[in-house]
Amino acid sequence: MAVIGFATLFLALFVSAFSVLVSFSRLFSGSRDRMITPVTTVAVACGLVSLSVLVLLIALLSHDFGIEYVWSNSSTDMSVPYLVSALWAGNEGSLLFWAWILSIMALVFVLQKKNRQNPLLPYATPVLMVTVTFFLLLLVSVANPFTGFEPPFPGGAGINPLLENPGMVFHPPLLLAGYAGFTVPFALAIAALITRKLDESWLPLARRWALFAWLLLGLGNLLGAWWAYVELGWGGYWAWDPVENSSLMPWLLATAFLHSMLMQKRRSSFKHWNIVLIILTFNLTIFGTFLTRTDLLNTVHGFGDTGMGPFFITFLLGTVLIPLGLLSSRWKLLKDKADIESLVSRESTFLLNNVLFTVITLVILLGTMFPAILELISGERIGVNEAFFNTVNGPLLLGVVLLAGLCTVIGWRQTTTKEAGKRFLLPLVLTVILGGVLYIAGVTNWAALLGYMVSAFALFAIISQWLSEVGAGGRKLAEYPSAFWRLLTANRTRYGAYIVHFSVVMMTVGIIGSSLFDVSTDVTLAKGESTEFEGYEFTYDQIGHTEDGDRLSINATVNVTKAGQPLGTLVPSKFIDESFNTKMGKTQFITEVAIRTTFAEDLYLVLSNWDIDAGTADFQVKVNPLVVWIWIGSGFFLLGGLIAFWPARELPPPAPAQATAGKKQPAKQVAVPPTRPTAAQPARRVSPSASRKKKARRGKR
Amino acid sequence: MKKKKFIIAGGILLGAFVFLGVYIAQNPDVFFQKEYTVSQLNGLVAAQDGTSLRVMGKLASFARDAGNSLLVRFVLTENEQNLSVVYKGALPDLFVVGNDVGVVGKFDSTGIFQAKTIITKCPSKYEPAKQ
Repeated sequence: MAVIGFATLFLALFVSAFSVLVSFSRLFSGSRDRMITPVTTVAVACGLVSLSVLVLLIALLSHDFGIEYVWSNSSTDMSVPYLVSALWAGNEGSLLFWAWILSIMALVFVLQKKNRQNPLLPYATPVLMVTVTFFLLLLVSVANPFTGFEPPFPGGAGINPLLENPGMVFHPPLLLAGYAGFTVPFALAIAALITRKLDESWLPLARRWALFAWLLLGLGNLLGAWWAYVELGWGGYWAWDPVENSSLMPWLLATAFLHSMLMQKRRSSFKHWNIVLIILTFNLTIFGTFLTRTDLLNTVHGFGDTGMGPFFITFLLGTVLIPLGLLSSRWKLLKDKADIESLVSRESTFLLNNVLFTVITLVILLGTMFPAILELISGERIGVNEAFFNTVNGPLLLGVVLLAGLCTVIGWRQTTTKEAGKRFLLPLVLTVILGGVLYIAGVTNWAALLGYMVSAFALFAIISQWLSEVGAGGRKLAEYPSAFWRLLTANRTRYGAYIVHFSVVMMTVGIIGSSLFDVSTDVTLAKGESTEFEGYEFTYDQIGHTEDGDRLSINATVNVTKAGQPLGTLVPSKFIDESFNTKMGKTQFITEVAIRTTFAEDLYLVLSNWDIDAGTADFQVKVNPLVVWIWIGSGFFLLGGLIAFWPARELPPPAPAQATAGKKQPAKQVAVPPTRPTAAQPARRVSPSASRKKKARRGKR
Repeated sequence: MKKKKFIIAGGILLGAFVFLGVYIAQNPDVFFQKEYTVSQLNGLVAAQDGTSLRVMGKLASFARDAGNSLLVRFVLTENEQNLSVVYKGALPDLFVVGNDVGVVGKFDSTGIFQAKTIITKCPSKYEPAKQ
């Protein structure tokens, strides 16, 4: 079994390395017009990697404990979903999964019909295959998932039962697929640099893949946050842990790229930004993996433990220095056509957006790397607290949200103060009113008040923009829903973006509420005893246990009332997994928190300890305001992302509904400049040349 | 004129950052702690001057106070040196004897480490195994 798995990996490495070699030899022999990489090699490599994934999967499902990876990451006690997720539960398996997803993406990339004529394809494909080769090289040398060994005890070690949660099934593969996905826009950027086709032509395809990867990575992170919140028993959803940070940083830069590229598509500006942003996004996915998979952050002295360090450093140097060389030799070709004309314009807000996201990423990188850097220099170590990240990134996040609001109301190029004032007025007035109401209602924390007002402004700006678009041409209120639907289906990118902005505002409100106003207490209660906290009254009723196979669960029953009204019973519990504990020789309890969620706040109850003899139990009670808005916002994030990503219908052009939507509001189209540059991009419905002309016209206006 | 506006806008941004930087520099205890392992710490008298520290070790044993079960006393060990710690509150699931545990807090006058926060590691298997 293990032999087959390793052999297929080895063959896959051979094929993909061959594919790269053929590409290079063709590249240097100057055959410019041919497909440089043979499609067959991509397909065969993908097939072989798939085969070895299948072998590992079978080994996991059939408990082939002669393979070290299978023994370490699965056990006979685990159910099928967790056996499958053992595929990405460990270092070697997750690298294999990454290589697999990447090879599938490479195959899709070369097979897609619409890419056939793309002059960048021949140059982007070898970049993808180099990356596939890198991962395969790791897998056959220092991270072989098929290493055989003599198991120390039968039955498999398995994963910590703490990780047995749906989060384990979805969170890691989403992140890994997201990471892998950024290789494609990176490859396209490199192809554009090599071929000197540095106009807008590399962007549409790069955008699609970047958006896809960004959506997966974003969802993966949100799912991880939710998992930490409900499972890990600490009531927090983000701890600024190096592992979390390294999955957030590429996402942030990709966010900047997805915005910044709109400026290039529409204005041929920000060319330097775009190409650098997407290259750095890719570099960060590799760098983050390097950081978290070697012992670098724990102690610099443990560096290179797994032997992966030198591989990662070599690959990183290559993927930083080669693009850098290309960039420097083509820097002049990337010159923007137009300078920013006015401080209050779409360009300047986009520039600021780029700056903000880049600075946030730098702050996180600095905070993450600082302990290791300092140790390297001075031999001393320091720990960076969550407070550092929160304090620095909090205002920056508000800046981003404010921009989302401002961008919605600011037009293209110069905006006269009068024009802008008009569109600002309504959201601004509403925001001030809301601020006043909040202040009177008792929100006197200035940071929170500012945060809420900024969020509210963005929200009102988006909604008023929606309403003005939907209501254009004097529509009646009853027509609004259908008009909204038509606009949405006709301008997916723009409306998808609106919805994503909307979701970010929701999440921001949730983050402000839960991080500035969360309160917590620890109490010991005897049976029948009550305590009050934040207006809730808790009565510890009883404690009992349930058994499920090897799992013994201790459950406390707590009745909750508020102002005399019963709110129901919460059952926080802890369980022990006998077989895991026996294997590990440890006694580990796993906390199952009880959460009562409302739109206003979460009541979060943890059973922290109990004493059967004394008849008492210890509880940790937390009240986390507005947390649910982070999860609701996550839902909208997915929705908006999908709408923006959903493929537009190809030619022939618009369905009747879209045509009427366009006809009904010609005045609107002229009066209010589209708030999203891509609104001027029904490019996929119109022929490319027509869209370019349209763009040019708009640009001159 | 145009340039002037941009310079002013950039200046405001920069000013905000400088302000934030100064704020952080003035309250270093809130944002950073010097980090030691248990054995490094025991050689240092300077570290026991009441500033906030971060100490890493392995959990050797722990016990709850007989009178107040929310109060936990435990011993961190590393390189054959021990550190006695007191902590009040709920314990994370990975606070298990034999696991790597970090504490943030300060020494009290009796030389016992009063922990404010307990740090445990995510149990995922992506990191290299300890030898």
